[in-house]
Amino acid sequence: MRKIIIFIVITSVGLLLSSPVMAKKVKLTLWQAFATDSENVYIKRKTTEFNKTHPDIYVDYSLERWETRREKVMLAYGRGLLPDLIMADSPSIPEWVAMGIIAPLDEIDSEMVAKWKPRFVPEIWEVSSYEGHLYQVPSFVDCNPFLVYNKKALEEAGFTKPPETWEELIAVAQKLNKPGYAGILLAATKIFLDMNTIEGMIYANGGRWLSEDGEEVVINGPGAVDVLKLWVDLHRKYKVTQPGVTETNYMDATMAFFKDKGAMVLAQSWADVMRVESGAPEDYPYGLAFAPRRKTPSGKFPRASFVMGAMNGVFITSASKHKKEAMVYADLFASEEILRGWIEEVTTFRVPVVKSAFETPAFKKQYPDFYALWKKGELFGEALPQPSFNGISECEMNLADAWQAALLGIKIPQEALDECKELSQEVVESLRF
Amino acid sequence: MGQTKNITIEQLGEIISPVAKNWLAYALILPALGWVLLFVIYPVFYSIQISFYNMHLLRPVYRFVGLATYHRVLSSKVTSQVLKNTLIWVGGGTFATMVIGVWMGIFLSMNYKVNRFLAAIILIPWILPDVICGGLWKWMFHSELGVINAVLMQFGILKQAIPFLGQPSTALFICMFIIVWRLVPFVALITLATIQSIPLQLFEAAEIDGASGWNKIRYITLPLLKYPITIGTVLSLVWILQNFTIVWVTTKGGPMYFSEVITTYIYKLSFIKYKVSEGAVLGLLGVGFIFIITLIYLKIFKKFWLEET
Repeated sequence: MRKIIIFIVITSVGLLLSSPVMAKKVKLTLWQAFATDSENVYIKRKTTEFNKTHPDIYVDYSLERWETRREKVMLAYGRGLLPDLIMADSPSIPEWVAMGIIAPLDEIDSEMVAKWKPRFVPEIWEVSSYEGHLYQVPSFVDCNPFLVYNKKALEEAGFTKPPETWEELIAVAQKLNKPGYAGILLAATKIFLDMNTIEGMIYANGGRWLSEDGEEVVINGPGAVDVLKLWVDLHRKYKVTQPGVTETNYMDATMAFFKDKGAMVLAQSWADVMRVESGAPEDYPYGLAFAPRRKTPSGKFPRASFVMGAMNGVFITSASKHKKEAMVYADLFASEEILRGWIEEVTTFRVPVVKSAFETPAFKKQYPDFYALWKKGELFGEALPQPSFNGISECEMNLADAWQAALLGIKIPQEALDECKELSQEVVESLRF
Repeated sequence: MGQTKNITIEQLGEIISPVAKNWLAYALILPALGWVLLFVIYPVFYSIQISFYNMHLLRPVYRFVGLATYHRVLSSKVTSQVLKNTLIWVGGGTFATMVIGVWMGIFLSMNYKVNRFLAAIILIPWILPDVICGGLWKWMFHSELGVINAVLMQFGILKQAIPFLGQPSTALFICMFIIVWRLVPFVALITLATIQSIPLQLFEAAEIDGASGWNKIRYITLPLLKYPITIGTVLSLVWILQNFTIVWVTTKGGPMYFSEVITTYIYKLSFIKYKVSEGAVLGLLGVGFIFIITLIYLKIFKKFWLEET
């Protein structure tokens, strides 16, 4: 009996001595929503280095599934088990603010945030902000919509440049379409990445989710209806897409492109990641161009050149008891060195967020067209943040249903989007408080 | 005047004594009981509670609304589609599982040399996790990247790929195919085990009397299979009804709502649309179905057990 008591006492003392409390080390938990392999390795490496250089702080890193990040965070919030830090995407911001999950960084340390601001591209700073507060330290942005096209296939068919208008897109797709090889690959499943591409096209055509005052859902305007009509025509009238548009998501479609199943695909700025995943060689003859647009936008809003989301960035949760220490970690990921590292060390075709990164040789090589626009000061002029508002998750599901209904021939585009508007209006109104 | 009755120490001892005598048994079942209370009973009662509110996770306040949430959910045309899909999914899936499973079990009981090998490999779908089964068949049926369409086009059977998972007429049936593929081995093996326990003398006597192979199956095998058939049916019903993974991994309920079943719709309502009260209503509906099926199962099981004893 005495031996048991001695054993318990020694073990307890040992545990106590090794605990962060006794070592006066603050322990922070970090959930990182899964990115690409090289990005995950980069974040983990930087976190390990941070732990070594900050003996008073220990960041406990864990990798979480991207697809279920919102559900996991929501459940953790409900059970009071939120981590101190989350690395996730900017479109989650409005809903997480509504639920009280994330804390505004400028209220934790306004001086630190003021120090960061000048180094960021102003338009990207706005992507990570909401209602006047910064909530996320963005790592990079993904932009859409883009057209990924097979240079060789287009040249052989007599096209010297990729299509720039909808009419040109139809003509090129018709010329290149053949059995087992789609003129253009489209993705219209219910995952949010597919909706992001569709939203990008809608915004590029002068459409919007909400009216200027944010009160009314206007997704059934001509800006969106005409985009849907184009998709329906490509799929059902001209038959230049793959048969399974509603079962092929963005990643499958891009992978199919790199496996020579199609001449073009509507994609996002990180399409090269799928080239690597598909095993296609580095010299695969593809080009990346802005998605074709209607000659004059049919929507009543200004045309957006593209929409962008900061798909990875540091959040501090409202539940964190060590917000000041969490800001020290966030400061690392707001440093020039780390932010340039996304383009210089981790070459996975992400658009950088810090001004100095746009002058690097790596950026010029990965995005020559973007670099040319950056030099002219025109890159972000007409760019808009990825649509994001309280209730966006449900509204995007309604949009997916509308898109699929029209592509399957169940409803005409206007009817499908009218129903989407009605359902989404209910969502937006029910969340007003 | 009311009379109070004092319990004597002896009477108290008579109450406590059986518990005290069997303290170890009670102590051993306490963890299981605690687990059931915490993870089964409590969530059901909490679901019942929130189903009478209009709880939405993006709204900080919610209030008691009585049966309004029930009305909203049950009168929605999406719910009608989901319930219809669920009936097809459960009914069709169970029927196919039992028919194929029982016949496969009967076939395996025959004296073919290859049957020993077959009895081992049919376990593969059973031991694979649902997520692997769903992912595997999803890729195989894919119109662009899948082997099934590729082979059919190669042999000239198809001129163009069929989007099995992307068209309303086939999406749910592909999911059903996968779950049947997954569950058939279980039914086949319990059928095989039952057949192997049937005394050979019955078959020999039937042979002497001139019974054909089919008559032996009809008059000896099938009647003696009523117990595993019943158990297999009930278990298949429950497993298919509560299965979420296969549909979620394969189609996520799409296209539109054409392969949406009750489990995936509950998930979408609660965790993507954040309408937890509405999710609770449907969840209770699902619990109700399973409860009824379980009662039927227990009644039949008790009847068989009493017959055998």
